[in-house]
Amino acid sequence: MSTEHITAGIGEIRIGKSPKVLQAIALGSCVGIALYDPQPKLGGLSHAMLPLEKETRKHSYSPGKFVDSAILLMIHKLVKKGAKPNRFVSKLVGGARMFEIKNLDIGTRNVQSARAALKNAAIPIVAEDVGKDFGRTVHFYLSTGKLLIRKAGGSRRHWREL
Amino acid sequence: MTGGTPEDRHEILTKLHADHLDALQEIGNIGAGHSATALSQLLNRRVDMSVPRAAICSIEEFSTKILSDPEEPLVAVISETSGDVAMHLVGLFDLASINRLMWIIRKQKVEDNLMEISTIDRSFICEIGSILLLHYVSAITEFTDLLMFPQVPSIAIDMGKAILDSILLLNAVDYNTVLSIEVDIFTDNVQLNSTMVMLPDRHTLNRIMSQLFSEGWAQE
Repeated sequence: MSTEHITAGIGEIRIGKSPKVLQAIALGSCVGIALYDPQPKLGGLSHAMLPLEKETRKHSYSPGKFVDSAILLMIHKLVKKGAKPNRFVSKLVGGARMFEIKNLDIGTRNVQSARAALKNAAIPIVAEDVGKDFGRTVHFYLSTGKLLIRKAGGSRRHWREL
Repeated sequence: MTGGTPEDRHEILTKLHADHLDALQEIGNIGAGHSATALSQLLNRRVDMSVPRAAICSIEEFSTKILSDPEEPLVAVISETSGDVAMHLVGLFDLASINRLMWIIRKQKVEDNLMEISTIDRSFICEIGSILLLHYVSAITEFTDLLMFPQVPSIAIDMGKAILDSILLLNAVDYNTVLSIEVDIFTDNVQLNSTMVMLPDRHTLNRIMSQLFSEGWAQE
């Protein structure tokens, strides 16, 4: 019994409805933002790369690449599908620090930016698995709103529920 | 060379012609040549290298090009340089190669689960990566006459895509595109593969190109 998995690649936003499963593979310093409206069982997953849209140059880009603009766009997409903003809950995954080089700690900034943007949008963060120094793969079950997360190495079956 | 729509590309990339890419490949050739020599001395074995590839691709494509499975474990040693040219140099190894390398040098296998290797093995692998990277840097310093001071290297052992994406974010020429110069180093009798990747950002690329092509490169 395998449900359809829809992958949010780097810089992408995917939305869907129960019983679909959204996934983001191998999040490093990138952050995965899961938004969920439990009533219609509608949700979205964003795989964002960099903290702030305003730090970009004038060139064209996709808003899904930046944490703050990705969250706004994802809210917009879900509301268009019938979700109600006051029912949204969110979960954060990723934002790791993969290397011990000071300039490479973009993960922490991504997480901070996500918290700030969600606070602005008055969306509660109900769970987090962020930071530390390892990559994560996340599956987002739209039937329940639960996330399953695994890290590298070890048994491929070792999933943690969030 | 693929990746991104033309309007996604930063203008500096449109200035790169075949001659420029050849020069970048030559830098990769010289750098990795010194790394290969160092590895050969360290292992007391013949070490070969591939023809370098200078490629422009999107961030999305880079990891799929290197990895067959995004969650496949990868060992990466990364060094940041400061000085005239600030960039990141990365040495990538697969798990099997790391195991063979440890076997050759220490007659000892590392853990099957790379995530659980000992601190000493971890620092040992980092040191080997560091030797390769430092030889690379010193060779391109000589060739380009630009000063580069490599910082203490750092190691990550994790899901390949998580590592590569995290490195690329800081080395993208713009927010979509990466310029990478890659060379494979391998030994003949024992399969040992490493890929050395040099990732200049826009400023670094500009600096290197104006140094090499003083007339033929209009600085930004």
